[in-house]
Amino acid sequence: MGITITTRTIIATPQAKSMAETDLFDLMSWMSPAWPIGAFAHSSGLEWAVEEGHVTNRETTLEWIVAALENGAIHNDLVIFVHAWRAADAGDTAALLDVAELAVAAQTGYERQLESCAQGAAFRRIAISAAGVSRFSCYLESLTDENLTYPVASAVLFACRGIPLRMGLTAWLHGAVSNLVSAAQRLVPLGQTDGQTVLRELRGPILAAVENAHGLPEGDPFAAMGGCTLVADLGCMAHETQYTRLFRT
Amino acid sequence: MHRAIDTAYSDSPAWLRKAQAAVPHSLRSKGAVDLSFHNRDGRLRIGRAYQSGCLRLRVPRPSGNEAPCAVLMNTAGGLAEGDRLDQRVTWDEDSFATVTTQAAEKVYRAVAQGSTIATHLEVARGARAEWLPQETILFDGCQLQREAQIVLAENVTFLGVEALVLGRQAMGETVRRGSLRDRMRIWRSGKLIYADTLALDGDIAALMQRAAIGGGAMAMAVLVHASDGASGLLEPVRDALQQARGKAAASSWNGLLAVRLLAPDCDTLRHDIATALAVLCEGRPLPRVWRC
Repeated sequence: MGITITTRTIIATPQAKSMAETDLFDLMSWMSPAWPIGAFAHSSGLEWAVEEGHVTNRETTLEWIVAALENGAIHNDLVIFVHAWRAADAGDTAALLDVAELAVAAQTGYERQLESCAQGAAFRRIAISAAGVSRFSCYLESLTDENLTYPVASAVLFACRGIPLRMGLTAWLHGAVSNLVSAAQRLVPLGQTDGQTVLRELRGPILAAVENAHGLPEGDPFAAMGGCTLVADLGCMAHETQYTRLFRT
Repeated sequence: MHRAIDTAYSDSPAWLRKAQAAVPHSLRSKGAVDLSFHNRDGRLRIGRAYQSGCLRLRVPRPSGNEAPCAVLMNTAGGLAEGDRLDQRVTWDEDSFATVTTQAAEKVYRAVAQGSTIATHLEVARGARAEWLPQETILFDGCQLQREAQIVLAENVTFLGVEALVLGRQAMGETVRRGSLRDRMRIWRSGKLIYADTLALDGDIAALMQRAAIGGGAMAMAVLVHASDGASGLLEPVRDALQQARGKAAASSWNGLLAVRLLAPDCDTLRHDIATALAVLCEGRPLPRVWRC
């Protein structure tokens, strides 16, 4: 019995290492700003928050993003991501379509829906052409572009590619939050150093959110959703009529 | 944070025993209403009007161009630990009616299970349904689970409002801590089209001061309109909301129109709700209970 274990260890170690490296390589490609989903055009209402004077410096940028992560739209995206990943990983298309429908319904405003679905559709297009993951497209083929949100599209790709959930969540959150930091650098504006400092300060909250999301129970994802970023939610609507806009959302 | 409160709600025999000891089952108030409207030759008829426990129903005679209106009353005067309201309303084909409440609902301090309000609305083809309860006032230490499920057929007009006020400022009351889950889901032709949960837990007073969360507001409301003509109402609603005294914004997408309001107090919120409803009720006056 001891021999069996030893044999397995010897065979598995080099494979596991190379798997981890190829996983990391693919994740870095898909979560890179160069992966063309148009993320740079979206600020999740941060542009309104800057215009209204809610976000003015490094500290207020950090506070705004932490609120979105712990009490707002990003928390809901994480719940959706986890359930979509699990459904795709289990090959449960019916559950996946339920999650996809909830994900769209949870975008409570025109720009919220635009931001999530524009990036979801773009992610699907480039992933089919460039990700090289064969099973990916078949899971989502019954969904039109208006019914595919970004967390669902990316979670399905990660699951089909065999990316572990915790690693996928960390990479996905890093991408989502980096995009907000990048928007803040242009809008507030923040210097390069301040932007990277904010990102570093977000590491703790992000890893805590990943742990929380990874431990979410099975069952109805709606039960785990919820937030209280009332000002930010209102701001995403108010952004539609903002006079000067650099961002689509 | 979200997990922490889930844990508090989970089956904890110690908590449940404590709650049962604190408030005997017989003293908890339960109320249920099951109401249905139908249209008979252009006149509104009440089909079902089941009432039980602390929930009562009155149908005042409409005057002028008022919409036919049913008024719900909670004779218990509010919800405390273990109290539960079940509200079910059905609008049959081509019916048109407003449902409102006689007074603001009050939710008092709870020690374990908290209070529950469950609302289920069904709107059949061609009907026009207005769900316009007055605001819910939360007291310090309250635990409220509110769940609205709204099921729409095709070709309906639905208008709903959910308003919350944290304490009665005029009475010097503040809400420091509490737990709130306020869920609303809307289905149209079998498809989920709106799903929103307001989750406020723990140190509510501190949360409501944070910039992205409450921004210092003490009162909040969401109005949702669903119809084929939703997008056409967006500009008129936005024009009207220029007169809002608190923070207000509106958006329209997918045959929905939503208005979000934040206000420093209840009076400001009611003013802004009335401003938006003036457009969304298409010129008809608000239910009388809203005006007095």
